[in-house]
Amino acid sequence: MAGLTTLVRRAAPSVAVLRAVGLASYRELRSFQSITGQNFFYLVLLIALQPESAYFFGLIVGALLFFPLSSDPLEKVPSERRKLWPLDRAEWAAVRTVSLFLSPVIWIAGFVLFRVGWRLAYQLTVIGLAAHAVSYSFRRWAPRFNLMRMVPAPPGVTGQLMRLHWREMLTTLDPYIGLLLMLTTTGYRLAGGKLDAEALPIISMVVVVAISTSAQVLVGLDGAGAQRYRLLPLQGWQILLAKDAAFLAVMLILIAPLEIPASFTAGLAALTIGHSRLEEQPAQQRWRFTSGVMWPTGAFQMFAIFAIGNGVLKFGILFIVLTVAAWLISLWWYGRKVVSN
Amino acid sequence: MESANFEIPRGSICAVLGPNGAGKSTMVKMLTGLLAPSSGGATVCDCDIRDPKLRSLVGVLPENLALFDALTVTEHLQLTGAVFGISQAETATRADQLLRVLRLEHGRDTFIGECSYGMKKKTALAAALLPNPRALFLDEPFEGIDPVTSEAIRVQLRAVAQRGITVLLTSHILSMVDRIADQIVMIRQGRIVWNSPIGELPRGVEELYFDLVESAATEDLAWLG
Repeated sequence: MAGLTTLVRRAAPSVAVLRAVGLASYRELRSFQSITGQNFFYLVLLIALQPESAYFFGLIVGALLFFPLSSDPLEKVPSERRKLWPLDRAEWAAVRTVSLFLSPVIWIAGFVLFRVGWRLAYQLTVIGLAAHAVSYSFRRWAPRFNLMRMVPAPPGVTGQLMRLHWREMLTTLDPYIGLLLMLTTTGYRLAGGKLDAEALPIISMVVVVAISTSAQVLVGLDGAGAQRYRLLPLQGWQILLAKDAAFLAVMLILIAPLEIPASFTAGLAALTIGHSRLEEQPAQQRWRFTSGVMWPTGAFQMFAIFAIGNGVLKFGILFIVLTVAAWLISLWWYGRKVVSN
Repeated sequence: MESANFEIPRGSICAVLGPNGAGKSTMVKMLTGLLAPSSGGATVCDCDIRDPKLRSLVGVLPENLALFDALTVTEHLQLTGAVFGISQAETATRADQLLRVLRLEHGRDTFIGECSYGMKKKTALAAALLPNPRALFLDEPFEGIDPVTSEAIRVQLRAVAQRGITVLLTSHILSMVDRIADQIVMIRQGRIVWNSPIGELPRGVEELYFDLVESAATEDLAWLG
């Protein structure tokens, strides 16, 4: 009995550390709920009414989530704090071993092991470890290497604002859904695969849906920096135009190999509707899906993307002119909200 | 804020003192157009605080610094120069000088998201100074700044005030206030409890502050030691 008491007392510091790491892992896992505010997630649910059609899209979302999920749970404790805590080498070794089981990737692999089989569970674990090794290596061996430094600033008064918005967009997961969709479709075509004539515009519009939620949180991506807009001698529409232009440029790159006129116009419609959320801009997290609201804004965006996209395909210039006019009006109207109190 | 009524002469430095939550930052926000007052009004450099033109007249170091994590220190200054209509060459010259004075040259290419609190504060301060504003509003400019840079900032602020720029700053560092301010305003629970030129203080800033605003807690932590 005395031995057990001693063991419990000896293990108390390690258990306390593990409890804190577990709590931090749980809270981080909850941050992935942001996907429930993502338009693409609902599109996948809609497509899942035919499960075999949704498999591909679900796979893309899963693959993107795997990278942030595969982070080492123990990294949630700041390294200085780890060095300051009075745990000896054996205790840290125990904490390190047990903490691996706090990784969501291990939980997912465990679930797959029991429900699907060992082969897929094994593959998931290997992919998770590889993803972690890649991100760890970059941080360990090239801490100053940051691809975001290569993002250019266009000339002009708001060039830096466009660069800022590109960097913010590229540190969310949304554009990478679009990128994977574009790359897989292009790869399939280059490999000689045949697609129906209607398929390319539809896939292109799905790419627009994938990034459309970020049109709801144009300022939310700025975090505390958003207050600076009210200190700058710029009109609200100028700030909003810089953000819209940055969004449209990313979208154009993603849809260029697929279809442009209908999807680009659909993207303008998504922005126009997204502007209506400028007064409520929840701060967004890095390396998560952007999170807006599904009803009514997200639903209207998705409806508008497909309705206006198809309108352009059938009726041409008329839909383009009307959409551009609506976008310009919303730019002026909602631009005032960016700099208002 | 309630019934606040005061004037700061052009080219002088006014220090606003008060405990956390007294209303200092609210005052700065209202005077810089970041927060609309529910009643009353004010003019800064002959411009109403509700007038959008105010933004091109004042330099502000806001409470939350209002910086973008995804821009570097230098890129913040380039952004500020561009939107205030300063040429690229002039912006680069001013940015270099500011970074030298604020001892921030080593971090010029660091993303704000990777900066220490002190570096962020220096960046926000540099952005406030770069457009050569007619008035400066600095919320806690010395908090989290090393003593050498604090002294450099003090010297610069005294110099700019002599050139006619009006400065309003808030601070908790009473010894620094004593050395920089021309005018002292003390706030308690949203009300001004003292407002005078520093030469008219009946006793030292610290002593008056403890008498009028708040005194230090003196409870003994007997379990320590």
